[in-house]
Amino acid sequence: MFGRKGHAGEYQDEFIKLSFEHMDALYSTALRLTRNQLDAEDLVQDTFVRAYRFFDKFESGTNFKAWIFKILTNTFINKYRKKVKEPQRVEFEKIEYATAEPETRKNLQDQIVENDKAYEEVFDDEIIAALDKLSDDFKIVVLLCDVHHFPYKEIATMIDKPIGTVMSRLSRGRKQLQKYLEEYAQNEGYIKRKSRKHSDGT
Amino acid sequence: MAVSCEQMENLITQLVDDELQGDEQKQAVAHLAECVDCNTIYEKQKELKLQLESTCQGVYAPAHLRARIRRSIRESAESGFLQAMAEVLSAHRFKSAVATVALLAIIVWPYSNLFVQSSGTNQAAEQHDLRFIAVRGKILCIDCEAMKAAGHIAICEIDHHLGLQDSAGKIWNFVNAEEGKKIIHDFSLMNKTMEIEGYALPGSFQNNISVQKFRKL
Repeated sequence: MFGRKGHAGEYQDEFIKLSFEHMDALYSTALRLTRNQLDAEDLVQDTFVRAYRFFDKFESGTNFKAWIFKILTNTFINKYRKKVKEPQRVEFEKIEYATAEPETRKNLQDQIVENDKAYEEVFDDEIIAALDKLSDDFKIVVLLCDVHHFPYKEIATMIDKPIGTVMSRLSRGRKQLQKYLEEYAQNEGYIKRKSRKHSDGT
Repeated sequence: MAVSCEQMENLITQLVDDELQGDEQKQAVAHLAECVDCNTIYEKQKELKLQLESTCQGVYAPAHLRARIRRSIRESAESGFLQAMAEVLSAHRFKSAVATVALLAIIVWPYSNLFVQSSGTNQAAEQHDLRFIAVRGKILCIDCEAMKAAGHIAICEIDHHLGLQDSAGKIWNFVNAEEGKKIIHDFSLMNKTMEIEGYALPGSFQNNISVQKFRKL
């Protein structure tokens, strides 16, 4: 960047023009990976700073979106993965709920309903809750493929694994998601039955 | 050659993602037409893919993040070179310290002019672009602290005026607007440790922060 004396502004503008259009896509991925807003913002910022620093290595004409997503996933794997394993403060209830055994869960439901809107969020965004339970390796591949439509070949380059691995992570990841969603659906059925009983009885 | 249901498992994933071509694609499609079980799996996977897409794509980056990133890119343009050098050096662990210093001196010297220039323009831009920062520390009453400092007994008569003292001892005053007004008189926060994010207002006589986001730690 310092080698391009006199064009520093142009160089920066070019980077911003190429990169900022992917800000929302990067942020939504970061949010699902880190599972909280503050870390997601830090991760996106780190990604942009790294991308800018290595922008001279980007071959113009190739897929910029794939390039910057690779930086995002690598930054997440190297820097954030350990950090987000720690329990989350605000969302404790929801995580406690999502990871509880079905029996405990039924008890927790009542508490959560009493407390606040957390309960609604769990069921409105069951997809998000299911994604949050997925292991990082599966989640990364599912997000890159299903949300951002990267072809297997590009995902393989991003995570430095053969296409076969991408495929198996995808199909296993989707299977797990479906399993979680079915569990949620069953629980929701339980609540609906329960609330109907209440309104009939009183 | 017909495909078995076991073989279909992988093919379904690829079919959902439009990754199959030629004969493989034809065989998979033919199997789906005849096999109800595999077709159900296929339809479910396709639906899941659509659900994931619509759920995750409706998320937008907060506006302040763009400002924050613009600023960090600008900063990176100044310091990035040195950071990159530091990474190269730590990666290679040069045995000779002399070689390291010499290398740095040789490389940095031609650019020393540019350093001065770019930080100059950055300062100018800074005045129009507020600095987005995050501060952490203990919530206290600014007025009580001022009273204490002046040797008075520190009790505000009507209500407290909350602020944050960071680890360096600096006291931050919340601007009484936006998110700031939600916490400035919330006495339940007194003595709590919090993280405040917002814009530091330049040129003011005290440390004012226009609060955009806050959380208890």
